[in-house]
Amino acid sequence: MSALTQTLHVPPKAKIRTEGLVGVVLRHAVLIALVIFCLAPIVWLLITAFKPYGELFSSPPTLFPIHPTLVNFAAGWSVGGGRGIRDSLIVATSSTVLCLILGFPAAYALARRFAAHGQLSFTILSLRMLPPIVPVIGFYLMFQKLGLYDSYIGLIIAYTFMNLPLVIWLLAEFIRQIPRSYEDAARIDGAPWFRMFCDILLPLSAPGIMTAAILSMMFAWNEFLFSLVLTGDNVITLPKALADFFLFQEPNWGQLGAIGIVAMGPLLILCYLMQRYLIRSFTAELGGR
Amino acid sequence: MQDVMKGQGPAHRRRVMPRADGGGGERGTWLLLGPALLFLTVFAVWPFCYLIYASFTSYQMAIPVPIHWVGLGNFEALVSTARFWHSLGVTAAFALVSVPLQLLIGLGIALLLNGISRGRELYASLLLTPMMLAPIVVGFAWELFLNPIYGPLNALLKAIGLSPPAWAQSPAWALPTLVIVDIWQWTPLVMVILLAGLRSIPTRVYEAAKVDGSSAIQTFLNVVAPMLLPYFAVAFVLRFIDSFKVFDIIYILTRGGPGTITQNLAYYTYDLGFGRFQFGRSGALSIIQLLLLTFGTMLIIKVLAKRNAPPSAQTALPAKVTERV
Repeated sequence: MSALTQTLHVPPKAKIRTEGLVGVVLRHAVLIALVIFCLAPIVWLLITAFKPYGELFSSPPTLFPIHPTLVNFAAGWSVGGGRGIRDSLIVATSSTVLCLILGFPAAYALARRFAAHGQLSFTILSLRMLPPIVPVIGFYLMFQKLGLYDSYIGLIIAYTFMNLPLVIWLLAEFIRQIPRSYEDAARIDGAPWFRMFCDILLPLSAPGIMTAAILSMMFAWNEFLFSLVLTGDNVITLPKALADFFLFQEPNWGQLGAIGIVAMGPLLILCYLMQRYLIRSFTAELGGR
Repeated sequence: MQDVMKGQGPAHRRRVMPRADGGGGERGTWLLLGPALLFLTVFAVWPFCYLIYASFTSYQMAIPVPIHWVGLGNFEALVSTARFWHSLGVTAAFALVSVPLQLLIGLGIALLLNGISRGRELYASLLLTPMMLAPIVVGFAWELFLNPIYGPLNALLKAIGLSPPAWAQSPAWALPTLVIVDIWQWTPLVMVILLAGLRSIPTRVYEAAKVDGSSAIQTFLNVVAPMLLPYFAVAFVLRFIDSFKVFDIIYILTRGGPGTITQNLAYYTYDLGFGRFQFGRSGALSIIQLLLLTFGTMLIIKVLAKRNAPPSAQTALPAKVTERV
């Protein structure tokens, strides 16, 4: 905690009080400035979402809307935001479910039955490091041939390919932490595998499944390049709807802000709620090795 | 399919202790692993074959001429253009300027957070916000924020008597602007990783150093830094890999412009493939990126591993989890 403070400053004993106080105030001042810098563009977008059209382009800009309005939310929904949210939900949810169905058995096998899991996990996970521009060209040519271009199924396949390695790795790490004795006990009692799976494995790995699902949802929800290249007018995910709306007409910042807030809000809240858990598991992960 | 088949061979031979690993033996293992491996193999190999094929041919979608084999022609044509070298430079700006800055600033913030006793979690949560946002949203939030006419930042700067640049729209400032946005979004990831590292150092380590009479700077250099190095390596490798992926913010903020000033390799590849449908060139360029990335990553791991703190691939990988967490 304050250990580093002490060692970094090692003040003579008499001075500790005053210097300590100044140091603390200074630290908090710097941190608050950083928080402001981190949030400013986002907060500005949030404020803009409540401005009527006439106020959007006033120069200098108004800090708070003089006539706050909700009209942007309704308009943003109908100009493509609603469509984008629907398509993103379809694609992100389907690919996440597919990732979990394919990933959980594989993770279990890697965690429990595979001596060389390290090697195989590494190979699987290294797929994730590809810059998306590399697989996307191949996917595009392949989907053109298979008739999957601009289809939900195509994009679901692409996102599953993108997220499956991470889901497998994450779940395998999680399952490895569940004591094997539970499963052994069930087996000795003669429970069939599906009972062991439903009654023991699934409840015990629920937090891991949640984490994997949230991350997979989030990556699919935020992803842009795949949906830009692999879809046309039939499937329009949220990031693509936003980019189209932004680039191909005079940007209506109020509506953009409104769509952006609706698109990001639920995800941000979920992340804030899960953050403590996510960071802790990750910290233990790094420290434990 | 091949992988499933392969697994069935040894299954018969190792039947000696079938239930020792949870029943079902190796056949069961491959049944569990099979679907996922099959999926990954098919969708890694198939598109990759297309990519390789395209990069050695004159594959162009829009022009109805027969496709013919050109060998290394696409690669040669690429490296002889100034545009390729320029976009390589832009990618390098992200990998070799933006990433080190993120590491430095992230280290600074992590040390700051480690040094306070109250509100650490709240600060950390708030500071993590940027990396949870979709890069597209980040792109237009900054576009609005930096707008020279009705954006708040320039209004503020003008109010205090400065003459701010047009940021993403000015040739001189376009690339620095993108680097700033990249730093803004991804420094939090570095901060989280390094903070985790700092928190993992036991208090008694500092106490021991203090008892031995080492100064603050000595303690940091001789005690904290070596213990932090594996975490630093994780952050470096992750951010290096991700720096090749920068695309969305360029697409929104500058579209590679003004002119082609801010096109990195990823954007150039996109432009070649989906702007002009020159899939041969585009494929060749993406293979070049793959090679650069692989060798760059191996080099970083090798250099950092030499420093007596092995950031092996295994240590390096867990952190991927918190990417954008």
